[in-house]
Amino acid sequence: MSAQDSELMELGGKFIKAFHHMIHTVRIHQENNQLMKECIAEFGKVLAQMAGGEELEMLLWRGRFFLQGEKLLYRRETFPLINEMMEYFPQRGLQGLRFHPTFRKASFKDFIIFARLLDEAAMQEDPPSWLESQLADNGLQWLEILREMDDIPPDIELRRKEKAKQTYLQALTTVKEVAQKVSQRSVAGIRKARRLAQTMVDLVLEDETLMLGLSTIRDYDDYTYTHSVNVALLSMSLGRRIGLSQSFLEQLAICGMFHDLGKVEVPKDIITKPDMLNTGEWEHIRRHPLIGVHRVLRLHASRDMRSRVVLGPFGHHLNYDLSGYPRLHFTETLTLFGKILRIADTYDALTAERAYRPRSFSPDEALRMMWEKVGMEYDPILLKTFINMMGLYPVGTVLKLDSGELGLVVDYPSESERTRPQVLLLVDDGQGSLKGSEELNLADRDQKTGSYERQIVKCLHPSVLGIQPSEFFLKEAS
Amino acid sequence: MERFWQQLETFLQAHGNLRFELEKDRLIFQGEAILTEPPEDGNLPFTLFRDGIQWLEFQDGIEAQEIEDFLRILNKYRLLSDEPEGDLVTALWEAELPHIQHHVAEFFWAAEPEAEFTIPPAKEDISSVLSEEEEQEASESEAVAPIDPITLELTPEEEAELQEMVRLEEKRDPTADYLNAVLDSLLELREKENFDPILESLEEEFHDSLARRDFEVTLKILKSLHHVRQICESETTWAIPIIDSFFLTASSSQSLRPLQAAWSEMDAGQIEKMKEILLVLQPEAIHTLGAMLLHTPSLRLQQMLTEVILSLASRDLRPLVAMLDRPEEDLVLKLVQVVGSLGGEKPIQILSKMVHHSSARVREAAVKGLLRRGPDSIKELFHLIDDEDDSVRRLILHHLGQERNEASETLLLQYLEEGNIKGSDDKHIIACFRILGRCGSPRSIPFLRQTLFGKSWMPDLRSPAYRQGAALALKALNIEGAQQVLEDASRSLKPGVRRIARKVMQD
Repeated sequence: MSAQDSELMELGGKFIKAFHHMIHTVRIHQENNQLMKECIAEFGKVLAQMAGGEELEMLLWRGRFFLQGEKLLYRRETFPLINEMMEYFPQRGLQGLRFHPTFRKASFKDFIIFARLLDEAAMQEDPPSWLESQLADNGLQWLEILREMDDIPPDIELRRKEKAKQTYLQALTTVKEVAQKVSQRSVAGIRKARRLAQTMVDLVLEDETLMLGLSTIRDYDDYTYTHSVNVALLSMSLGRRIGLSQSFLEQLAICGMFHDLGKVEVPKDIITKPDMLNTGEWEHIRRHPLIGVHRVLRLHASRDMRSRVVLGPFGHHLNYDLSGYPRLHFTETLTLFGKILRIADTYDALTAERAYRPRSFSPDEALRMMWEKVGMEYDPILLKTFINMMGLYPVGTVLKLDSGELGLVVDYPSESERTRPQVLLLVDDGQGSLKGSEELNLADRDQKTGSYERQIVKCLHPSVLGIQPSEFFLKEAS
Repeated sequence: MERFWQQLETFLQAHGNLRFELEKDRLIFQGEAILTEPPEDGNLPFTLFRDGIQWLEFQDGIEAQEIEDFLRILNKYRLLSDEPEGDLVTALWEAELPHIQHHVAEFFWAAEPEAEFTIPPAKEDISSVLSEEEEQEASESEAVAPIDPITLELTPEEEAELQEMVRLEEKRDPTADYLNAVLDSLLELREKENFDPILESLEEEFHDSLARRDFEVTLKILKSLHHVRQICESETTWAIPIIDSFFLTASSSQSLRPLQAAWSEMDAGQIEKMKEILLVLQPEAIHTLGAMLLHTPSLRLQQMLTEVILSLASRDLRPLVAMLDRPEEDLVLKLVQVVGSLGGEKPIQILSKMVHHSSARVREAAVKGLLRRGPDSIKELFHLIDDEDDSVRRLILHHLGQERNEASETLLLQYLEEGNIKGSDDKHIIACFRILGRCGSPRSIPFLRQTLFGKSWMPDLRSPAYRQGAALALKALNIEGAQQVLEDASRSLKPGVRRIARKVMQD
């Protein structure tokens, strides 16, 4: 989350508080009451700050509260307020409110009328129509009500989520198609892959957290394909962090998508073998980067693109110290793409459920394991950047808190605080599964003691709980 | 372009952004079709619609360069392109035109795929996880040390290194990395089915690198494959013919054609690099190099090509021999000169054959080539003393007259005694005598005396050139006996003899 977004969220919290305070106070106090005056003044002030000279739109959609098209994150202090809004607005047949810039000319009295009308609307037969006529009668043209609609177009974030989900699924399909074609010795085009990669780049640039959330998708039965798309997402995100240009991010995405083309030809019984591999089986595994190189040569791509894409299959098992596999004869240095893919590939592989491991590693554990091999297997600078990007508890990690609650890491609201994430509390849905509730920032401190309000007790792999973290990220898009 | 840009910008400033909706056969502005054309390649609405563009918007602040870039892209993709990976949308995306926005319809992706991912069932009961006591928590992952966040901070040096890493990556040509990867996979996966596609791709890269004049890459491919071949010689012999075939193709005229265009623009460094490349090729490359040699005005390039052809021909003369039948005299001449520099028996045979070539220059070059090999060859070449071309004859004579030599003297004596000199070129006759004087010995004096004085009892029907030549030869012998003959002649009763002798003695 950028500093600007963080500020918006902060202001959003203030706005919802001020609005809540105002609509409650107006029920109790007269307009000459000091508290009433303070409430209105505060609301006007925050409204002006939020709008910044433009109009301001507050909207409820599918159980989430949006300001200016951005979802307001659930925080402990705002969670009950937002919940209350979930009832307040539907009672009045409203989807939301739009404040036109002329609200700046509105008087203290105008705001009081607006708050009272909102309050009284709940008792009307047709609240929206009544409100519209009342607003007109009172000259409050600066306010527009947004009626409840079934087919309201999704806001920017929801559209982005939907697009992200679709892109992921399409990427998955594309990787499968290409892998199958090249393994049948056919030539496969990459036009579609390029278009998808471009969309993925756009999405990573817009919302890295969302894409990292998507990269937690796991498919136990079809591991290789989800793994390929995940590696593409992780690589691109790391590429973005280190400042690669848009077109290089695209190439990196394609490298990630096709880095395991050679693995498609490894017999499935080897990949899913629960026991130790014998020498012959291990040899199959060791060959897959080279087979991948051969398969990339079958891609119907420009010379330049193919030159880059080859680096994916070839380099993703090569270590920083040039150990690993394949054995090198001509190659003397690692490429940046290879080093990035090495990190992304290992991280995704470690955190995935695999047959040959008694248990999968939680995301934080995977990072720690990788950190132990920094400088040997992984480029130190890139691994540092990767861990900083992921946070010590990467998005998709399930945390057990000292409060007894379970939290799914969904974001790091602050760039400077990468050890205390924002979590979505997971609660028992009563049907043997978990559902999301409020969001908490684990960096929040108790105002009196100054200590953190919650401590992390341990991390759990999502599979322990049988959950797919990405489902919580994409909830609104499903 | 400038006018269009100004008009567009004026419009945008006055009316705001200009957005067109796209349908396959229509361009729509504010709900009205402003351009209708059949949905065919080349037509504007279809070109944009085909790749999935839903709307296109020109925004205020647009630069003339953006319009130019946009039109260039549009023009490139007006017809369905054979580009393997690109399309109009990709090109627009890459161009990053800030004031020309577009939206791509999602129908491009066709049906929405199913999102069914399987994950194993929960390993622990959720309610028990939620109700676990803090004290009971024992992380399985505690065995791995925690990361100290301080250690994750990038130092200023690391920041700089990272920036440099990215800068270099974006500047770097990935070809070398690609080749290394492909070659490594060639050596590691030494299986027949894998060799062909890899060599195909290397061949493609070879051609591309030549075409774009990236001679480093060309050389790397060839040298690396040589290395692979050496390794395969002992372990994977079936690969040898495949690799040889690669080199053969690489050495063909068709492969090397791009060089001809690049030739005149090469600097000294490139010429050196090119020489290294050509030296690694198969002798079949001589077919192309010979032609290049013919058309290259630069002496430096000619020198380089000659050296390369020489080297290649020393490995296998056959391609060069095949070219000696070509009609271009200049080409054959240059190749004969190359053969003349080669050692061994075969070049002698070739040169010996070429001394019969219809071109005097070729014959001359062949003769030179043979004569360079030593004095013995003159015996074989002596017949060229009667060559129709003066320069060839002079060449033979020059060689004969280089030193006093019994063999040369014998040849000339025999030639002059027989008197079967073709034609009646007095100059040639005199030249032969002069050379006899240079290479001869007292053994020639009787013949020369007889030639100078003639037979007293019958008139001399031969050309006066014989008598003059004999006098000159005697003088050139520069020995006492010869001098005596000349003095005798200067006192001869025959005025002709006396006059010639005196003149020669005076000169």
